Amino acid sequence: MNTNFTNNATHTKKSKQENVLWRTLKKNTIALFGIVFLALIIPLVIIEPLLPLPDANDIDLLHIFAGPSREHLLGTDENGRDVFVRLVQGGRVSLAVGFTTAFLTVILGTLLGSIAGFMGGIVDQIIMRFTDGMMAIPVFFIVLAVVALWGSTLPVLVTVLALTRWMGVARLVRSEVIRYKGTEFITAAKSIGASNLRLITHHLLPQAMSSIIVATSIGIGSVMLVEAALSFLGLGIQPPTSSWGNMLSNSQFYIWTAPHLAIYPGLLILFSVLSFNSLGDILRDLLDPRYRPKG
Amino acid sequence: MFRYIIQRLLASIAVLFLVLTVTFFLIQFAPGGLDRLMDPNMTPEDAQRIARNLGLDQPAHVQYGRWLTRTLQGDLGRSLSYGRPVLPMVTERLPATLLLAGAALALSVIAGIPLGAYAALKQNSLIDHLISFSSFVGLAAPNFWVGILAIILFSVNLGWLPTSGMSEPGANNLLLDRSLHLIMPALVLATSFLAQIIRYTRSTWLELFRMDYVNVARAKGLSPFPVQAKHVFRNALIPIVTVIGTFLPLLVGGAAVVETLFSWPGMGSLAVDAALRRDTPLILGVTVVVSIAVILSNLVIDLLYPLIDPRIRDAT
Repeated sequence: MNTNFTNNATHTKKSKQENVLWRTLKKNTIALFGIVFLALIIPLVIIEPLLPLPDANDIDLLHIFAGPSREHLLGTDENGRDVFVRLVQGGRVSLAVGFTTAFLTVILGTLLGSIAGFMGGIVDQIIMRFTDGMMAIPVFFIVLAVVALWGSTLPVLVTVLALTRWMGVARLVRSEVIRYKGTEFITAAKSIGASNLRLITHHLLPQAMSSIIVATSIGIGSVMLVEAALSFLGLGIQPPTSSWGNMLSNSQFYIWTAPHLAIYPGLLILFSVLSFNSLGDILRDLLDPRYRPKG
Repeated sequence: MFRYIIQRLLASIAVLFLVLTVTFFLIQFAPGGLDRLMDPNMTPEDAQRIARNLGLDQPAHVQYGRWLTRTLQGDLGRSLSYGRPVLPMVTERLPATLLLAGAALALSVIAGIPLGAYAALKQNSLIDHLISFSSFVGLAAPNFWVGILAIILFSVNLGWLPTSGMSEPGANNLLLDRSLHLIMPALVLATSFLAQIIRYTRSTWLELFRMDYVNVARAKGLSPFPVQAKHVFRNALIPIVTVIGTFLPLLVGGAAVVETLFSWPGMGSLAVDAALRRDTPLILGVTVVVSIAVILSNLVIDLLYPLIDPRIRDAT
């Protein structure tokens, strides 16, 4: 009897959560599409090496610009390489750069934002003026300079992108920390002897978590856009490793003969960024009750 | 008001120093340096003499001071691949970038505010959904891809617009020729900013509609249009001017990509060219000049605030 009661309770709670998710998704077709797209593409780029597919760098000059066939799902490019496999591998690189950079960005931004918000006073002033300054600089040119000086390897790309993109998260975390710093539950935690570090990590940051998660999701999308732009310019992922950006860059030379080569990578960039942006919107709706659609 | 202007001026100078300092750090910590240029047969004494002549034996803060003085006097060094002084190379490219970025900015504002406002007026109508959906896609579309698609459509298939450059040699009607070359790059550069402006305008207007003073104006019997024109528009302008300010650095960053795609002879394509050639002085020179241009534009925007927001004008 007793166990039955508990089971019922958890069941109702779960179905209520499902309702909220479903209601939110029903209102937002793009987000539904985005979640499906990510649910397909992320596993695909991970398991691709295990699948019976041609090698991405196999050159076959007798079959260039071939149409779709059983061996080459989306045909071949100007060197007879398999377009589908190159797209999947490019996706792996782009997503890896997106996730790693967004992760580093969040760590950096959270660190600076929580220190500024918690300490206040002169420390806050210095960190925030620095943040404002970084936001007023056209950082894309600094990224270009760094890539030119250090070379466009993955660690350099990820580091310089993270170092030039943490400002949004820092502002966000700072404002949340300041918002909750003076509330009763912080005073209560302080009164039972919680250290400053513990106050930040156990009490203040959890409050900022939902906005951090939303910012991360949108951040992944915008990092992927910058990576694609750099690769497109020849300053990002270097051939023969494929990336959506450098595939687009190659396709420019064959616009007249093979315009479809310009369509696939672009669509994939667009869909990925769109998916992460709408995922961010959905997460905000789900995590913050104020945005939750009613009824 | 006077205090506000001084404050903004000081902030701009601080940002300028931040740019210069970051640039200096890049030079200091860049891999390579003198060792790479050294002839293996050179004696240590010769090496020391060269380092002394170049001022490389000095401590970092002395080097920083010297470099700062030289840069502020306009000496940005010589391009490694072209052998020319960097400053004139960059400044002769400045007008093309200003034209492109200015056109993109104007397009986004002129089209974005009415579209966003209209979507807000007709909230949840088909046209609102259409505008909101397009702006959501516009934010996510990579501008170089939009550019390639535009070239395929307007140049390859329809043959209406030129694919590259700023002008055709020997064109009869200069203004027409220039506009035809400008229209595609400007539109492509404007894509994401236009989308941003539409989204901001729409959400600001929706928020303002719920304000008490708008309800009061409506309750007085004013018809919807004058209410929007007089009461909402001016208040909606402030956040949009802020968006323009924060978006400027991104806009010139985007210009680097768009200029390269359309072979537009601006500072962005110069920076990309310099980066591909590993031409350090040139790319850092472009970075400094572009940053100064952005800082000055932001200063102008800051000084516009008092004109549209009486709260700043009247504050003492």
